[in-house]
Amino acid sequence: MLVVNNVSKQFGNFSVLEDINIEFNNGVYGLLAPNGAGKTTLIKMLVTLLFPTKGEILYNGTEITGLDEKYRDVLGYLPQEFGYYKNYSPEQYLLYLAALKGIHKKQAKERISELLRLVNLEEASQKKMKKFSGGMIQRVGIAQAMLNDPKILILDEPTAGLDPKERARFRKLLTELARNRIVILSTHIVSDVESIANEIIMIKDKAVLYKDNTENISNLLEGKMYETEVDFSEATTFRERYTSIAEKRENGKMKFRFVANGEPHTEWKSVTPTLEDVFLYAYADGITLNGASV
Amino acid sequence: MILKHELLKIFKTPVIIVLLLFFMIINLFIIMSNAYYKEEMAVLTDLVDQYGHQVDEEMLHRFEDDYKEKVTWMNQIVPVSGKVYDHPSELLSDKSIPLNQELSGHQLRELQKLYVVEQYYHTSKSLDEIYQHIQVDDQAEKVINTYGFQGGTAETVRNQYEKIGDRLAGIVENKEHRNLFFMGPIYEMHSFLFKDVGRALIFELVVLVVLITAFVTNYEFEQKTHLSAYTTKTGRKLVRNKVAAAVIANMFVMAILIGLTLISYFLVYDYSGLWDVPISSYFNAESDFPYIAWWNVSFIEYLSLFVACIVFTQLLFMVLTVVLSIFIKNSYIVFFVFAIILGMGIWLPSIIPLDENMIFVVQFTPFILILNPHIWFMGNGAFTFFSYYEFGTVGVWAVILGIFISFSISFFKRQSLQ
Repeated sequence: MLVVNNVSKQFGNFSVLEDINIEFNNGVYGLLAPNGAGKTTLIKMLVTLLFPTKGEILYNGTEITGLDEKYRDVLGYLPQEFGYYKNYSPEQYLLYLAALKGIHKKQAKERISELLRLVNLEEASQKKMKKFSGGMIQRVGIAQAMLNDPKILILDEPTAGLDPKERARFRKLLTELARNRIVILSTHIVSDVESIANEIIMIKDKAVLYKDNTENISNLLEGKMYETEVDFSEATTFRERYTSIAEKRENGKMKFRFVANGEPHTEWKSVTPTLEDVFLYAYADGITLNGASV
Repeated sequence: MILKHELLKIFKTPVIIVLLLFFMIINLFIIMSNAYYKEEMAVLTDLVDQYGHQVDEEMLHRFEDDYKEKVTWMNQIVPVSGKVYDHPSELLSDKSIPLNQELSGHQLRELQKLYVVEQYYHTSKSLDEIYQHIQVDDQAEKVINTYGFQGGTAETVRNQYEKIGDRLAGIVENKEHRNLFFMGPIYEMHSFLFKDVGRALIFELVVLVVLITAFVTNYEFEQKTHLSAYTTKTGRKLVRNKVAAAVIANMFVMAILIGLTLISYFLVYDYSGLWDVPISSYFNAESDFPYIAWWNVSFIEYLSLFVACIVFTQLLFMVLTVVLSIFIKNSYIVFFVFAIILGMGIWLPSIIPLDENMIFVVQFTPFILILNPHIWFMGNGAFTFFSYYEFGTVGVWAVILGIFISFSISFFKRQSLQ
């Protein structure tokens, strides 16, 4: 079990995270927040690149910096900006990282070949990475994170650069992997985690806003989510009155998906809220929702 | 395994290979710049072949007999009958005889060789006399006046020259000065090898060592792979492998550059028979005051000490570069900052008043040490004439930089990596 205990992080006088408390057990955790909310800072503390200004992070009851290499031995990490050696092939680069992860060369070669097959890069294993697309590089990154078969897999924006087919494949892969490990997936793309995360963690105003499963978080807007069509001339007034989540032109009118707290109008159609609705609503300026467990 | 990967990163970098080749070419040019002396210098090799390098009574007798025989031959080929010269220098300076027209090419060459032999002959005969006239006290006053030492510093110079005087007496007693070597005032081979070639080598190696060390230490940050690399099981201990790789790569580069340069040098200039000649031989002297090594070391021993001193000094620069690289994550900026530190190290003594003994203390830095490699381990010079100057400098800085690197590596373990 990985526990973030009263963790705060400051850079000089600038506070990024305050009193964060989270517990991670086996399963997929979606760390969902807009860019700049502190996701990457939290993740960098989880992977020992940064250290909390206050509080502690424990793995199975022991402080992770104290565990040192024992902790990093069970850790797999894909950074948001995954760097690579341009003149190396994926196999060469993964062999280097495998050496850093303490994996013997023979064992590493087998594991690399298995992982490159898994991320569909088997045929490019000997090619120099400078010729790779962003998606291919990201897949090398995913493979390197899994090299040591980690107990804790932390992926920061892992789907950036992946095409829809690769994303679907990746989600399936994560679901399989999460059976016997902690998978923490940071993203600002709701669809990446909506279907696979056991729990969603949202961060707002330096603190954890919600930590619950997708259904419970979505239910925060139960009975408040509607769709309706409005004349173009009334669209501005409508926006001022209600929190618009999505808009599109349809049948010569403006179709709104929106949140309303009062009595619904008869022409409004009540809809089932999604995680994306809550995400967009929660990060709209000045909005706070109560109810989900933190 | 990790070490192998780190070494591959260094040796796959074209800039290191290109610089190494470039420096080798420069050194070859420097070496060849004195090559016109080669033929003349071979005269000494023949003399040493014939008499050995030690100038003792027996050697002087044999040398004198042979020399006189050659002078007889010289007088026989003189185109003007009746004229007799005691030495080839007299004949060569006699402008009334058009030697170029009267003598064959072979005779002219032989005459030139004999002229060189004459220099060795005269010097060999007058060695004791020369050493009787060396006044160490006068040399101390000369140094004091030249640099303007006053008060305590002038006293330090006098005290130090007293010790140099003792060592000079030892040299005379051991007869270290009585050994044939290339004539210092003519060829200046000591300065040529240890100053011109040596200093070039040192500064070239500084460039290579700093670049290699900064490059390998900062490699992950410059390739943006640090986030993956430093979160692996090895983690920040990777820096130890990087330091080990830097040591191996730098030693290799030093072996190649020093090795090839010295091999080229000794292929061009024949030192056969001279390896065992004491470095304090009078023939090595390039001015009125001879080179006075603090210990009785032969040329080959001095050369070994010289190479060892280069290696240790470069390792000090390597450690300093590692320390800088922990705090500066760009190898070119590290190189730039190193250059500033080197410049400041060289500049610092110039702001110390010449009447404070601190002027001698600030010389004990590797930055000053590399400036005058031709007087390493010697009682020559005005600021670095202490017997253990080289050992003291390297030793003290090894301790200082050892503390710094330990501190830096500990700091790196808890450094925020963005």
